[in-house]
Amino acid sequence: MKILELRQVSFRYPGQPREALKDISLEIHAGEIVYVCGPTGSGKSTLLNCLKREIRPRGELTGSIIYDGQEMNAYTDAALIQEIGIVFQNPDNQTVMDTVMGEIAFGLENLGLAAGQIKQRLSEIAGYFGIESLFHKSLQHLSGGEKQKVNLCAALAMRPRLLLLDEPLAQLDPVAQTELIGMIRHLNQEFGITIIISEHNKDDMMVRADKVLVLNQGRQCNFGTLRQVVAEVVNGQDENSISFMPTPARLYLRTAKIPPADLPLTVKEARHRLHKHPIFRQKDQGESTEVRRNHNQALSVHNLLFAYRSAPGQAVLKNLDFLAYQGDFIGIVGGNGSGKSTLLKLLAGLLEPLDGNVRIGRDNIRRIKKNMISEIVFYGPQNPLTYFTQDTVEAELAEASRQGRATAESYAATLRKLKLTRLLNMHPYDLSGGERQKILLACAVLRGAQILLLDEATKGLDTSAKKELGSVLTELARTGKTIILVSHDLEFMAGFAHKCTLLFDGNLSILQPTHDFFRDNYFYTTIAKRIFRESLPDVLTIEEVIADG
Amino acid sequence: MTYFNYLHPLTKALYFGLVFLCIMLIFNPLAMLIAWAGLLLTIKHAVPASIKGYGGFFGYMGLAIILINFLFNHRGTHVVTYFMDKPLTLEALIYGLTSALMIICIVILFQTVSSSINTSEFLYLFGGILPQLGFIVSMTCGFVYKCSARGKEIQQVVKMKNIDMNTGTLKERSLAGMQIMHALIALTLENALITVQTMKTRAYNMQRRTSSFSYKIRTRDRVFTLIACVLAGSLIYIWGSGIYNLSVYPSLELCYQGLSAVMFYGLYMALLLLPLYKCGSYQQKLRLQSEGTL
Repeated sequence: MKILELRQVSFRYPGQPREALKDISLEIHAGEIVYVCGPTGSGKSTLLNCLKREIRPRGELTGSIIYDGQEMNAYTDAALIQEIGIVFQNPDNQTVMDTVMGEIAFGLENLGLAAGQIKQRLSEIAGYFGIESLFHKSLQHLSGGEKQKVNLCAALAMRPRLLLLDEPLAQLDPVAQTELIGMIRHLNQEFGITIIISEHNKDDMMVRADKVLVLNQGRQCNFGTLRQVVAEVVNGQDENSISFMPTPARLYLRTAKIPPADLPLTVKEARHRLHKHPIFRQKDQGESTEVRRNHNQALSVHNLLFAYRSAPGQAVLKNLDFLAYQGDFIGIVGGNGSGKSTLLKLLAGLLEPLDGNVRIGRDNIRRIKKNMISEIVFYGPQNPLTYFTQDTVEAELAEASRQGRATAESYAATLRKLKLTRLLNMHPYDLSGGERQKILLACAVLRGAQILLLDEATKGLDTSAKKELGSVLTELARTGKTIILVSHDLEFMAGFAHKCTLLFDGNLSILQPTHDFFRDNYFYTTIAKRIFRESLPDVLTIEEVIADG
Repeated sequence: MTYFNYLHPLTKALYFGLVFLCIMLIFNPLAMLIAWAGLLLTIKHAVPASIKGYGGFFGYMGLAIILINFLFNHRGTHVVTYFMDKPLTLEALIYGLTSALMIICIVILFQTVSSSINTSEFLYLFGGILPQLGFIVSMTCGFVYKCSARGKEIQQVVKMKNIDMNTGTLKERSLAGMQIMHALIALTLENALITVQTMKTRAYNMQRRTSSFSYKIRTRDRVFTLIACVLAGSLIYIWGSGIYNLSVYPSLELCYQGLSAVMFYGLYMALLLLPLYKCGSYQQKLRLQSEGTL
């Protein structure tokens, strides 16, 4: 039974020459999971917003959207609002009330349901999803994953038949992602709720989808089952679409010529195929990271002890030691709330440790003037928007340039290197996530910072933006800058960081070259490592192997 | 949680209303001291409210009120000393002290109210009369914490750009404050767009809102309300006679003293300590439960 049908749907934002969506035609059956992927700006969010009539953006919509056999416009507001639910990317911005209970009840109260009915729905939701313990908690005390769970419950309380999920996993750590994926799958399997989810490279979600839609520049590149899409992508040799395919499929697409129908889509399938046809070998690694390393000490930490004033008895960091050399690109991984961001803020001098020393070069940070610290160290926050105080990119960069006393040549070179010229007149808020990160890096470079501390810089970025960010960071490290990146993105760390360490229980594990760090990890590792665990134990990314056959 | 916390929101609101009325009406230093002590005891044993960190605030504010009244109010007949040829009177000092105590008591009372009546109870109380007000209050509570968290984050991050409200000249600090405020407003507005969208997707403003909270008035509420009304009623009735009202101006006159005064202040203390009713037995039962003996 078709629940949704799009016929030649196009959408154009007011004043824009190009359509944000162009001729989208597809059919979605009740109970299906549809995974929508594509680069930033490909029209994923626009498509989902067009399907939720109450928040359809202003602009020109042509074609027909047929929901459950009727034109969507024929439905009343009250009917449609309950039929289709939506959850957005950022868990914080979606919450309206101050408590979990208030948040879930919000929609039901708006629908004018009686107190008894609301109570029954709330108790059902709370019991089923195991959130009774959170029910009376203030939302400010919840983690990002818990908030997103509450947002999902708030949408489900309206009992929708179609659920739209706009990058709901992008801001979450891997554990919260896995939990939410399980919840989404459960909803689909047990209740038959139709789900349309847009995401960037979430293999776990993609392989569980019944259909996959690949968008690029508002156009429908591919639509069908994952295997059909993979076959179309292989035949079309479309590099853009290939980058959105599951990692095991990309591994074989890049290196071995096998029929599309036989391409492995999951780690299990890839391991099985590898066992039968061991065709891969590891590329030569070339110059090792140890040889590249500069021996000038850039940053060191000794016996660092820190606790927040709100919880003085619970030390976030306990006698932590750490050493970074010039030109190092260090990745710090760790669970949510393990203190990664706190560590970066302490290294940047934004927080005062209870005890212990932070040294920049050989100097204790306490003896360096505050304004001098910011000339040497740059802290890139998790949300780049908290850094921007100017109305245009140009003004932001000019300010950084003035403070760093950058010359006109270095200003122009930075713009060129980071490809920022076309963004100069834009407001930082109008940029994509990847572009915002590039502006942050440009500010760091123009300020002349030697140490870059980046907090979750890869969060919410698409594949190409991550690749671009990775190569910019690698290049900066090559020029002698020290980069310390905190992230949950193991694939990114494995692909670009020279060294990695894990923050756990207030302390860092031994700082090791990236390959050594991941070598012994079994769960906390990359997809390629899971595939090649026994056959090629040193492989971390699919770029590190070549096929013999 | 104590007995008081389980009462109907209306009972709690009525009780706090009566205490507020008594603090405002019975204006004399002894009554204020009793109110202050009573509220502190209530916080310690029955309604734990967060007044930690208020010590300095209370001290400075109280001192400021006392000093301002003492220095600038020259009414009264008992002259203590002269300052710049103006008389500083005992009446002004007593009046300032009583006013300071009253304001401190009211701040503590409001802290107690906010920790005792949660948002859902507040919504229940006012949602019926003014549905939009209740919703706006709850939304504002959610908004305030988000805004303050964002503000703190921005303040910390922009220190990297040497924008710091705590250092530099007054002009530099003002400029930094304005830049931080500018960034905060921009970020808040940006995030508010998503919040508005999510409200629209959940039927906001489609029809008249209902409330998900329902509470039932039980015997314990009736008993508590009756006791509170009798105590407060008696106090207000006696206060109406005027004998316990402090007469400061034009000349300080002592309030009525004697056994009936002890009874009057006893009643006042009983009203203030009413939340402690059954507090001990509840806590003992809870302790026994945790020890596994009940």
